[in-house]
Order: sequence, then structure tokens, then C-alpha cells
Amino acid sequence: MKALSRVYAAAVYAFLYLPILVLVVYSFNLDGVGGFPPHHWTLKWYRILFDDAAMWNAVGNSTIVALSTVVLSMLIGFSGGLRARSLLFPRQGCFSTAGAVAADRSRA
Amino acid sequence: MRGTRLSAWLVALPPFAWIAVFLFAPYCLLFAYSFWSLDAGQQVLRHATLENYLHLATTPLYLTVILRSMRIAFSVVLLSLLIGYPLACFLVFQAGKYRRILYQAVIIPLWISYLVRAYAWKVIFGNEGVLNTLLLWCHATRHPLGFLLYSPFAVIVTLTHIYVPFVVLPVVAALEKIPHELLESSSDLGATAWQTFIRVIVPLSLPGVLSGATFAFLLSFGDFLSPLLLGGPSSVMIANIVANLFGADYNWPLGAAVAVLILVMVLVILSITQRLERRWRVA
Repeated sequence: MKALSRVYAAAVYAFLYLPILVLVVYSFNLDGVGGFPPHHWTLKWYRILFDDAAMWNAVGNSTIVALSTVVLSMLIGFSGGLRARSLLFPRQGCFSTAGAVAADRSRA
Repeated sequence: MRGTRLSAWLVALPPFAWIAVFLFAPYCLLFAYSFWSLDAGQQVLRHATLENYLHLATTPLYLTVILRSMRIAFSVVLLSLLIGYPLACFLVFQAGKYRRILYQAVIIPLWISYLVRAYAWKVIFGNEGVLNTLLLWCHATRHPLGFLLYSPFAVIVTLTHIYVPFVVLPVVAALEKIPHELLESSSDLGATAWQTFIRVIVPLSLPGVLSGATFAFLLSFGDFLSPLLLGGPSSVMIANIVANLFGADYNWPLGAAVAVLILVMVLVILSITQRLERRWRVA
């Protein structure tokens, strides 16, 4: 029983992580799309990545957006978590769940 | 007393203002748009009309797509529960000293961009993808299976992959709350492990199951990225219709009407699950 549940857990973790791992492996694939496992390994894509100014510009933009989001959501979320919920929605329920859902939608 | 009340309101002001400006106001605008219409020159006419809602009610396409979205979302919930519930049990009752790190390992995939994970499944399901290569290699099939990608199946698997953690986390929280004495007394009174599981653990974990299932259902129901990347014409979901109406079709009033319809459905589902949850908490 214990062994069985371990195998099951391992399978679930494989389901969660293998797709991500596949993508990592593909980043070393010379042939671009298709062919698994890669026939020819390469660091070419990483070379292109590090030479690509537009890409790093985008990374910079993402960082700025992420940091600003942290600051803003700290300011608004902290005071919200501190008091607003008990004050505004004493019977909690619907609204807190809806808020959580809305927060996740904006992430996607 | 009065002072603390005032300061409490002041602290509550930023989130309240945020909700008012960025949540409530846009919804009001959306609601208003859903009653407006387009003239011949694609300009929005600001006269109240039920045209959009009539169009929704009389065009079978919308019902078809909404039912399909619900079917896909429901499959995602079932699969996520099937995968997530046993894992949650494993984490709480059997993981032992590795529990913390294994729990973290459920959360970490959430930090990886949704987009990246959707593309990963595209790589797996493609004609020359991982799965087809594997099937060819072990001679399970002679030709690559073309129906894997661009199908509801691909959308369901991808969404399940993304929402399994959303099911595991609340179920773990519910299982953790079960007092250990209950399990002990159950076995003291002669229940087998299986009976304890069915009659003590499962009923007490239902609130967690419910909130995980609600999350997975609502988030899959409103998803538009997975059907866009991995679904074909046979798996267009309602959010894709909304995106098209607001984007390519440039018919904001009709898009708003569909959005209001979705919003009402979401609120109905939320109120039902909230009520159920309250009942199960007491029971």
C-alpha cells in the first residue's frame, strides 16, 4: 500500500514536471521544432538569446512591470488584508473567493 | 472606539478605492455596453436595447460553445480531483519528513508562466512531438497520431496540468484540519483503514474538495489561452468568443453581453458552492 502510494505520487510529480523538462531539453535541440529526443545538441539558441537586444529589452520591461506590481499590490493588498475584509464583507464568502479568482485571471 | 473605527476605514480605503475603480466601474461599463448596439458604420449607439441578448438567445452557436466550455471545465475538475486528491492524501498522511519539500514541489509549477507550460504541451502533442515519437518508437502506432494536438483532449490535459495544484492545496488544508484523535478513535472502534477513509476522511475533506473544484472549474471555464494554442475549431471556448468579439469583430456591445452572461453564470456557481460549503462545514 505504501509503495503503491509512492509510485502514484511519483507519477503525479512526473505529470507536473516532465512537460517543463521537455521544454528545457528542446532548448538544446539543433533541429528546431520536431524530433525527440534531439539528434543534435547545441547551445546555438542560447547564443542567439544572449545576442538579442530586443529580447533583453523585453526582459527589462517584464522586470519593471513585476516590481511595480509587487509594490502596488503590497500597498493595496496589505491594508486590504489588515482590515478591509472584516469591515466591508463581514460575512465573507462570495466576495473573497471572487477576489481570489479575479487575481488569478489577471495573472494569466 | 470611534477613533479606531475611523482609522480602520482609512486603512480600508486603498483596497476599497481599488475595487471601486478597477473592478466595480469596469463591470458597470461592461453592463452598460451590453445594452448598447452598433450602427452601420461600426459606431457604438448609446441607446438601451435588448438586441444583444436576443441575438445570444436566438443563435445556437453561443449555447453550443457555453456547453462545450462547461464540459471541458467539468472534465478538468474530474481529472484534477482524480490526480490531486490521492496526492493530497499522500502528502498529509504518508510523506513523512519529506512533506514540506514535496508540498513546495506542488506549488513551484505555479510560478512557471502559464504560457510556457501551454507551449510545453504543444511540443508534447505535436505530430513530431514527444508523445508521437514515443508511440512510434515502441510500435504502438505506425503513423503519428494527428488528433492529439488541436483537440479538446489537448486543452483538457493542459488545463488539468495547470489546475492540479489548485485542487491539491485546499484539499491538503482540509485534510490537515482533521484532528488526529478522530482517526485514532475510528480505528479504536474497529473501523478498517478503508472505512476510516470513506466515513471520516472523505466527508471532512469535502470543503477543501469543493473549493479546489470551484477554482479549477471557474478558471478552466473562462480560459482562452489553452484553446487558442492547443485547441482546434472543435474546442473553441466561450472566452475565445469574447476575445474575438472585442478584437477582430470589433463588436463590443455583443462581447459585453456574452461577458455579462459569463459573469452571471460564475456568480451563480459561486453562490451555490458557498452555500454547499457552509452546509458541509456544519455537518
